[in-house]
Amino acid sequence: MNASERKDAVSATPEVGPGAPDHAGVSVISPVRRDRTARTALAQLLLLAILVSLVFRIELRNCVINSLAEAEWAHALVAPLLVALLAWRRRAYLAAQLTAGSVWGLALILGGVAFCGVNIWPLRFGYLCEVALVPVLAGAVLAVCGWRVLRLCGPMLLVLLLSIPVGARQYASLTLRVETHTLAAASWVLDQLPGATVVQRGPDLDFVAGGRTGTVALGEPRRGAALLPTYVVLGVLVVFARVRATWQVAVLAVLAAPIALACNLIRLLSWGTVSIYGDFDPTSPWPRLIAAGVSLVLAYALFALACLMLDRIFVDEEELEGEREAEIVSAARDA
Amino acid sequence: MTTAQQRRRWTAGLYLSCVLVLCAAAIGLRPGLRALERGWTKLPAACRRPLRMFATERLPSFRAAPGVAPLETAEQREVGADDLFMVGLEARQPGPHAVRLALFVTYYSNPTDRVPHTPEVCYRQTGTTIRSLTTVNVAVPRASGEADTVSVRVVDMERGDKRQMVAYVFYACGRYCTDRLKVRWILAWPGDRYAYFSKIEAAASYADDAAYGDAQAQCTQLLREALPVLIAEHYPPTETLKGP
Repeated sequence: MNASERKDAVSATPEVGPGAPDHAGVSVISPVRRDRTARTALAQLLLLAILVSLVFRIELRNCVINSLAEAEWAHALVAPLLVALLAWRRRAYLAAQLTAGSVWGLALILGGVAFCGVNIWPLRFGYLCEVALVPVLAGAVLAVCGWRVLRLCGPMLLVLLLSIPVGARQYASLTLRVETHTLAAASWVLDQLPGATVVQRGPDLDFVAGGRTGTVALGEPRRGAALLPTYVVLGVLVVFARVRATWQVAVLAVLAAPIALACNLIRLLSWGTVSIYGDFDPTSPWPRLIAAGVSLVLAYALFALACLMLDRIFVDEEELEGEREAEIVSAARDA
Repeated sequence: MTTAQQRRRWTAGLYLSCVLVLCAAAIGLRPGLRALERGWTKLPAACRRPLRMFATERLPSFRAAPGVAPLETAEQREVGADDLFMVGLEARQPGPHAVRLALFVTYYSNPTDRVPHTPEVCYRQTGTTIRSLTTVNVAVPRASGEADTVSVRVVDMERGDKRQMVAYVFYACGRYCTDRLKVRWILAWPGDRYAYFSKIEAAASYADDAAYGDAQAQCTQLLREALPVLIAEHYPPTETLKGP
């Protein structure tokens, strides 16, 4: 357990049931009682989750259909598993931070349902209706488990939000500038490769190399801005594999955009390089798969490197103080 | 936690309220909205005068250029518009650089129609590369003599050695906007009984960077002159959208 995790554990003061915090700020609730409380809360949450999925049954079905249709959003199919994985990784903290539910949870549920309703009719914004799932789930967590657990569930909710497929037209509008600059940069870099001439025509990067001609990422929609949500989801999983101090989360959130954009460029460059030098048929899926693999591994490596640097280089005095405090409390509890 | 405490947690007012709200939403949200929709859905507003009857002679600075064929019904179907109009134009007093102009107007009267792609998205699919995307303000005179300051999106593109510029704006239920989402918002906003929207594009083909300023000036001028004609003679009057 590192410094920030210990600090979080120390600050855990369960308020459910009769157990009041003692003078050291540590709960005197027995672990058995806490486990029972956690299990009850989990069962309550599961029941609410089932009801939420009934409310959003059409939106969830659309998400699955869109994810199956577009490789860009394939990660949405495993989003529930990713959320479960994150929850499992921090189950001890979630149980320790369990408090009485807040009435604001009910307000969030009502607001989310109303938001969804308005977007079914009269606004007819399908994507926003699907997005309403996230505040409703957040409301369910808040109503059952309280503010501290909701804060810890932030990464899970972010994964869900990033797994809701954005409509093709909207995605095209949102990523237009990114795609334009990425295509221009990729065209310039690929044109510098020995023996290759690359020219951009619209969204196409046409190349001539070794007597062969072709187009990079032929037939791929949004070739200059693909997999961006996937990189960010990957980043969320890497960053939140453990509980982090808020300042670390803030730094990593700032780094997420440049990392995702860099990986997007590398994906297109890898695709171009493989297409130019590899002897692949224009319809072969291999250049696309290789490029996706390279960029996803790079995204993982960059996020992991950023986390490592934050963990190893910057030592927070406050964290050290928390660590010392945790050791003292732990020793007192053992005694 | 004792069994009684656990039971209390399950029957707590807050938790039961959440369960009730979600059950009610699961059962009643969509049927309720469908019932509302049946009573409040907006109706199509027909064009006052077909767009093909657009009077180019009403444009003080431009005249119809010969040799531009009108769009046919098949193209109209492809675009999905209820009415559309395209005309090639040239300046009555040409500037120092050669600029070929076109006015392209589409009209949609069904509020559930999909708002079409904007040029920066759809032109790229034909091999065009976006050079810049800017928003400029154009003063469009009203019938009363005052002028509306209208934000117009200007897309500058190239295709091979050809340069092209499109200045466009949407006009939805009497309001200007450059964003598809805003159009959908206006169409969906309750209040009026009838709805329509239209996309107005002024396109210019020009030779090189030196003609960029001329092209932009002529595109915006074309919109400044065409919009009042469209509003006064073709689009339904805003006051009739509320219905009887």
